Amino acid sequence: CGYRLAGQGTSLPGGVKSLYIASFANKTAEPFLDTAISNALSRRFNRSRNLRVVAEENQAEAVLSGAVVGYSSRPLSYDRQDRVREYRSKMKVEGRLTSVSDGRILWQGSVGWQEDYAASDNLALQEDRERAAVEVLVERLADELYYRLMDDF
Amino acid sequence: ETATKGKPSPVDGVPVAVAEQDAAVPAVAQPKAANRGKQAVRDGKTSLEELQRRPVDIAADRLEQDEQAGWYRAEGNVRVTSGPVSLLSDRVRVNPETEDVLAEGHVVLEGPEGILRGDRLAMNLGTGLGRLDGGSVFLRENNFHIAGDLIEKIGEKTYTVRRGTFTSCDGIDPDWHFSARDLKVTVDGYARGRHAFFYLGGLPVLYTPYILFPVKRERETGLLMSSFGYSQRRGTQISVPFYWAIARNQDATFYLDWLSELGLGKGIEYRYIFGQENAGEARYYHVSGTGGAGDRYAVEWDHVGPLPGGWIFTSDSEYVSSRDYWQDFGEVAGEYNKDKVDSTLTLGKGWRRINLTGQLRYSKDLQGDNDQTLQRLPEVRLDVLRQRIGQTAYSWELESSATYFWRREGIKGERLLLRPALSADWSLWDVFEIQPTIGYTERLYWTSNDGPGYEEKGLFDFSTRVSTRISRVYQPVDMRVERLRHSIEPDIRYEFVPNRDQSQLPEFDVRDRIDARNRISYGLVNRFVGRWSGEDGSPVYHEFLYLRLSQEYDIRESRRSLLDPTDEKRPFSSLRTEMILRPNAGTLLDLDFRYDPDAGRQRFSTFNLLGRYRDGRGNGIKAEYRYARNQVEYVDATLEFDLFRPVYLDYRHRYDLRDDEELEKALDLEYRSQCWSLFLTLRDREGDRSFMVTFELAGLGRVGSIGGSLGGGN
Amino acid sequence: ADAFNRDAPLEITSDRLEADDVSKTVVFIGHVVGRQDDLTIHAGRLTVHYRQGRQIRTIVAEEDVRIIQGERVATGQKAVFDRQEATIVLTGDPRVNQGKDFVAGERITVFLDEKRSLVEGGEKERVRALFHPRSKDNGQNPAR
Repeated sequence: CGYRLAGQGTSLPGGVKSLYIASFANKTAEPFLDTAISNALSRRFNRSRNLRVVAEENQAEAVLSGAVVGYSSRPLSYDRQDRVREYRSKMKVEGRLTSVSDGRILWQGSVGWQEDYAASDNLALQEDRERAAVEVLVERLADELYYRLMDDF
Repeated sequence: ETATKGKPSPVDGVPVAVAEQDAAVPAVAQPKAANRGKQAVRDGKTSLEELQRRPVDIAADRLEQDEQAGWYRAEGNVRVTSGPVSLLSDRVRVNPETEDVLAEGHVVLEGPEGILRGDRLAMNLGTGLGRLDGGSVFLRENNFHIAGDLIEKIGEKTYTVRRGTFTSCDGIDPDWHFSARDLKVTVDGYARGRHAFFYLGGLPVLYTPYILFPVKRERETGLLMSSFGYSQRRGTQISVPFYWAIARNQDATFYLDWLSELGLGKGIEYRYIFGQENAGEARYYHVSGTGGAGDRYAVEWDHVGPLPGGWIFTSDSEYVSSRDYWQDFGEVAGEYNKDKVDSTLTLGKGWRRINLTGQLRYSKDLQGDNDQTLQRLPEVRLDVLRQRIGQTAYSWELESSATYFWRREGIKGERLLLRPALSADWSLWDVFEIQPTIGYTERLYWTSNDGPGYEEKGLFDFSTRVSTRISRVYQPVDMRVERLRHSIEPDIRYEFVPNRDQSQLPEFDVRDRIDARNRISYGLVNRFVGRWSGEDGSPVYHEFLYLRLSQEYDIRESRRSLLDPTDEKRPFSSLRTEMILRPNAGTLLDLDFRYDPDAGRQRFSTFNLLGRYRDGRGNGIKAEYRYARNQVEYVDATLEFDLFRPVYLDYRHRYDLRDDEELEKALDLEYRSQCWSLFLTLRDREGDRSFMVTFELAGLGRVGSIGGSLGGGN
Repeated sequence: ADAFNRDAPLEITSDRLEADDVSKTVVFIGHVVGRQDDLTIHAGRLTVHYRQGRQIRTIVAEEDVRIIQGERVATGQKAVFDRQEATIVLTGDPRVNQGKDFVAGERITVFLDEKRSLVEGGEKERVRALFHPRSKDNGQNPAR
C-alpha cells in the first residue's frame, strides 16, 4: 500500500548518517531544563534505527547543538472569581546541525510546544504538576526536533 | 545534493504562539513574489566597496576637464550617479583619482541609506564621508529627519549635526521634534546631544542638558510619554514617565504616578546589558498610601548572564510587600489575579556530559496562608547526561539532587536523591525500536525534630518503549505542495514500579511518594508534512496536521478483586486526542480533549479548543475554550483588526461559562499617526472598571531587550 | 604623453587634392588621413588654411571625422584645429572615447597645451560623461 518503514529514503540533511548530540544549554531563568532536553534528545535520537548516534564528536559526520531559549508558565483559565484554574507552560528550543568536516550549517531552526496543568491551592502540588508538564514538553520537543531534521524527503 | 534546508523564518511577522513551529509557509493566495528588479540595496559596507568599482556617470550643461589639477567641473543642473548613489546640484567638482566631490547649489544626494539635501556638500565618494552645510538628512531605515547648520558624516552610519533638529515625523512642521546645540546620531545606535529641547508641534515642552536616545525603528518599543486615566480601584491616575538613557548599554525609566485612591506611586525600571550577554532588568515600585493605608512596594529583578569560569547566573525574582498588591496595581489578566509570586535565583555550569545547577526558590502564596508554603533553599542538582557506554547499545545516566526544604511552620528537612538509570537501544527485525530502561531511586532524609528524623528508602522503576514509524510520500496533483508525506508512529510503553510503603517518609514533593505502577500506555502520532520549493529553490517543509491519540491501560486496576461486585474496575484511562491543524501560516486549530468511554453521561473529562486566524495585515481573531469536568468551563476570545486605519482595535473578552460570569472585557484602541501613537484602553473586570490614555513617540526605542511592564505582564 | 608638439611634420594623404593659392587653401578629398606626432586624423574632407609663407593657420576636417591620440579616439562631424590657439573644436555629435569611458555633448573644445578640455551641451543634447575609476595601481587618468 505504499507505506514503507521510515529509514529508507529519509535521512538527515546533507545525507548525514552518524551524529553527535552536544549537551543543550539553558538560556532561560528556569533551572534544570538543559538536563531535561539533553536527555530527551538522547533518548529520541538513539532510538532511531537509521541513524548512528556516536559518543565522540570526532567520530560523527555532524553535530546537533542548541539550547532552550524560552520557557514560561502563565495563567490560562480562571473561575467565576477570576482566580487562576489552569496554567500553560511553553518552551522553545533552538537547534542547529553543523557538519563536522567543514563547519557548514546543514539545518537550523526552532521548535516550540506547550502543555497545560491545573492550578492548586497547594503550591507544592502545583509545582509538581509543572514539573510533570516540563517532562512532557521536553519529550515532545525532542520528537519535533527529530522530525524536523528527518523531514528531508 | 546537500541543499541547505530553507531556514524557516517567522512567516510575514505572524508569531505562531501555540505549539510554536516556525515554518516558512507560502500564504495560500500569494502569487509568486513579483521580481521587483530593483537593485538589491545592500547595507552601507558592501555598497561602498562596489561604489569604488562602479562607474561614475555625469550629465550636465557644461563639463570642464583639467588634467593638470586632475578634476572635472560640471555645471548646469548636474547629475552624478554611481550605482545606487545619485547626486544632483547646480555645480559639481569631481576628482576621479581621489574621488573627492564638491557640490554647490540645491544639492540633493540620494543613496540607499537616505537623502541629503543642502546648499553645499563636500564629500568623498570612496569613503562616503562628507560635510553638508545648511542642510537636512533623511535616514530611510529609521524614517529619521535630521536638519542643521552643519551636518557631517563622520562614520559609516554616524552623523554629527551643529544646531540641529531631529525627529521621526515626516512633513515640514513635524508633530514633535528635538533640537540640540550639537547632536551626534548613529543609525541603529544612539542620538546624543547637549542642550536639547523637546518640541510638541512648535512648543518647547522639555529642556534637558544632555540627551541620549537609542535610535531604533521597531514600532513596539516606542518611547512612553505620559498617560492618564481613571479606575474604580485606583481612582484618577496620572502617570509621567521620565526616560533616561544612562549609557549605551543602560537606560532607566522613572515613573511618577498620582493615584487618587491609592496614593503617590514612584517607580523605576532599570535595564542593562553588560558585555555581550549579561542582560537584565530591575523594577522597583513604591506607593505611599493615602488615608492611613500603609506603604506598599514591589521589587522585581530578571537577569541572565555568564560569570567567569563558565558559570551562568540567572534571576527571575519578584517580591511584593502585601498580598493585595497585584489586585490594585496589576493591569492585565494574569497580573491582577496572580495567585503566587515566585523568586528563583540559579547558578549553573555545564561540562561535556555533566550539568551542575543550584537554585534558591522562594514562593509567596498570595491567596492561602503562607506559613505552610514549601521553599527550596537551596536545591542543588548534579546530573550526568544520558550517554552511550562505548560502542554498545547501552547507555547510562545519573540524576542526583540535594535539597533543603524549608517552611515557616511544619516539617523542614534535607533530602538527598540519587537515581542512576541504565537503558538500551535495540532494534527488532529492523522494524521496531525498543528502548528498555531500569532505574533505582534512592532517597535519604534528615528532617527537623517534628519530622521522622533520618529516613532512607529506595525502589526500582522499570519501563520499556517499543515504537516504529511508517510513512508514505504522496505526489498530489492539484494541491500547491509538490510532495505530501504522511507518517504514522505507533508507540507502546510499559511501566512498572513496585508497591513500596513510603508513608514513614516526609512528604515534600512527588518524589517522596513514588506510587506503584503497572501500566501500559499506547499512542499513535500522525503527521502530514507538505513540501514545496521556496523562493530560492531550497525545499520548504510545513506540517499541516499533527494528530496524536493516546490511552493507558492500568494492569493494577484490572486485577483488583474480581469477586467484589461493587468494585468498578476502570483499567482504561480516558482516550486523549491532540490535534494541531495548520492549513497555512495565519490559521491554527488546536484541539485537545480526553474522552471517557465508561463515564456515563459526561463523556468528555476535558475538552480544550484553540482557534486562531490572522490575515497578516493586522486583522485576526483568536478564541480559546477550556473545559475540565467539574472544574473549569471558560472562554477567552481576542479580536484584532485595523479596518479603520489609522485606528487599530484590539478587543478581548473572557467569560466563565460554568457560572455564567463575565470576567473581563478589554478594548484597546491605538490611533497610529506617522510618528506617534495615542492609546486608549477601556477595561471592565471583576471589581474594577478603568480607562487609560497613553501617548508614545514612534521610532525612539528603549535599550532593554527583556520587555514587559511592572510584573512582567503575560 | 607630453604637450602636443606643434612643429612635428604634418603628413596628409587622400584620394584627391585641390590647391587654391588665391584663397590659400589646400583641400584633401576622399579617405583623408593626416598624421602629426602621435595624432592621427581621419576624415571625408580636410581643408588646410595657411598664411603667407606656408604657415598653417587652421585645419578643418569634415564628414565622419575621427581623431586618434594614443588610446583616445574623438569622433564628430566637424573638427576645427587652430594652430594659434592650439585648440581643436569638435561639433556635430562630438564624442571622445577612451576604453569604456567617454564624454559627449554638442561641442567639445580641447586645449592642447593646457591639457584641458571643455564639453558644452545645448538644447538638443546635454553633456554626458562616463568614467570608470581606475584602481589606484596603474594610475592612468582617463582624461589625458
